[in-house]
Amino acid sequence: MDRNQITKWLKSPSKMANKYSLHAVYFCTGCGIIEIPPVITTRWDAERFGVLPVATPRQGNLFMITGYVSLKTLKAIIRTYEQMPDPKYTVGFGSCPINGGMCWDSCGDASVDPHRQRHGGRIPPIQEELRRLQAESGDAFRGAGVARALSVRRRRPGGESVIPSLRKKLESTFKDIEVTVPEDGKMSVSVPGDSVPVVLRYLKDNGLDHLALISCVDWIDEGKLEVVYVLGCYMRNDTDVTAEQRIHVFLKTRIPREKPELKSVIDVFENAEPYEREIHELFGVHFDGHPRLIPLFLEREYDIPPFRKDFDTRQYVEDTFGRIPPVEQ
Amino acid sequence: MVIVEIILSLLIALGAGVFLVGLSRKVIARIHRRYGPPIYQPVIDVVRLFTQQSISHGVLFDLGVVLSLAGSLVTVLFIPLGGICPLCSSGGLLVVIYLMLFAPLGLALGAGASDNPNASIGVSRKMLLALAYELPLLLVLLSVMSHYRTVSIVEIVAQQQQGWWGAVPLPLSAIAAFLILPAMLGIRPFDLVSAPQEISLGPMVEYGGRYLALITLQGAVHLFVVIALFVNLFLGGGANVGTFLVKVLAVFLAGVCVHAVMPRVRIEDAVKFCWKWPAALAVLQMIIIVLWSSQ
Repeated sequence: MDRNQITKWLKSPSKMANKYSLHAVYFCTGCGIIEIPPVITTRWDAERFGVLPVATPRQGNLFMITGYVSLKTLKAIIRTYEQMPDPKYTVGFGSCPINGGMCWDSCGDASVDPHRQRHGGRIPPIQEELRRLQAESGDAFRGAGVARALSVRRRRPGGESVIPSLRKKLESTFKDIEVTVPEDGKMSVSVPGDSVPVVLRYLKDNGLDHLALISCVDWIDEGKLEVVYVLGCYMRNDTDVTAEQRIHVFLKTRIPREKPELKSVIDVFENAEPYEREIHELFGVHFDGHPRLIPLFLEREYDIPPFRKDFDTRQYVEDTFGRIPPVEQ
Repeated sequence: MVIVEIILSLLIALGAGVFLVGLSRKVIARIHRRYGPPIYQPVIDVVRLFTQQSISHGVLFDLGVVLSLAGSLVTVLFIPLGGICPLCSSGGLLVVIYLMLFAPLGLALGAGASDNPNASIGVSRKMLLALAYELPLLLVLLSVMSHYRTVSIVEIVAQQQQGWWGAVPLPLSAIAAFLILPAMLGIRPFDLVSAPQEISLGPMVEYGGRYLALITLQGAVHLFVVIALFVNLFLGGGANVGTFLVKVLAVFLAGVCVHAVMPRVRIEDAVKFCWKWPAALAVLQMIIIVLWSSQ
């Protein structure tokens, strides 16, 4: 403790004590929590600044939301927040709670990015609440000196965006393709099912060499299944690549629900194998050329793939587990 | 004069207890190869907790904390701290045995009022653990009392000052007492009462703000009381406050080293352990004393 601090302590002990005794409650629903173990253990040792994880919200004054915020987890977050005594600080940690991260386009996302107005007024009250929570997150953790350890690598602004040129190239190369730019740094490409591998290979050759995820959406009213390939760029050299050059591309294709078939893209991106297997299992999409379309998670047989919207989960649970007699009988 | 001694011994207990808590965090951090918080970190925590909003769950919830802290503080007055002992003329060990039960009972009372299932689990574990360590503890105290033929702690300390420390004529009792020390302090491997990862600090789950500050202080005083008792019975007490506190520090550091490297045991294992090894050692010592004195 240096001499400046002593006068500060004498002037406002409660303020300084709150600054140097941060007891953190973690709400960990996602991979953001991976940053926490090095911070609280030997590597960064947050305890030297008085930062300590606590077991119950009653005793904490720092609330760290470290994962994707969906509509269901939001309730738990708000309840936890309300249980914490004042004064308290909240930190939305990583890209998932702030703008949805890689799940930004999903229907359950309730992240707090104020610039995004989708969902047509359905969520705003809750979003407002979470935005209010986030606005209260002060410089608390930075004051404790841990921000350096926690903060993600900053992107250097500047440079020419690659999206317009890539868009022009795509539209001139492929026929039935529809490109939209929903927001800065993100591009959405819709193609027919047959040309998915070709477009993917083309994108891969143009710098989008990271297949982050393949997901699927069931548009039951339109009778379509939409398969989404999320592509990004690996970071090669931090100084060469600016924020404008580091983009995400969402390759979407709609296929009929009755006979959903796609070509496997394993020969383009090898890591597509488990994603395709998962989508085959949960949505019933058949991937042509996949070496082993065997069940990945599920143990039982289903007449409808369980993630389709016409699958009645409640009925299924009742049928499967309701008949099991209680132990006493 | 008695008033001054009372205030002085309470201050020593509070100060030394809080210092020990801060030191333990530092030492554990160093054993983990971390830098660790400053030694005055518990003071910062307590100041912060006093300025925080406190959420109450009713009168019993408040009274439990007060009872617990008061029980711990009163116990201090009956334990000689190297010459300072305001109320030692009455009661001695027997009173200490009773008074030491106040702290867990107070916490149990408050935890019961908080209506939290984790608190109930914690309280039931606390009671089971008390059952586990009280048996060897009482046997140990019995052998100490029968060896020195007195219940007065001052007398026991005085006899040790003239001859050997208590650990020399009563080695098995001393070992048994050291083995149950973590259970009495609630540190690993017997921190199952407040197990933060399983039952969210058990009895303390609903306590925050000023309540938690008081509980932190109570924990610090309790820590000091238990170790002071051990020092008085087996390490010769202290000729003055300085030597006494040095001995307390040594015993505490030994306990912290165990704490820093041990995992947590389950409650049934804790009971099994306490009723097996410490109890066996204490009974053996008891038999030796009886045979020795019957000659």
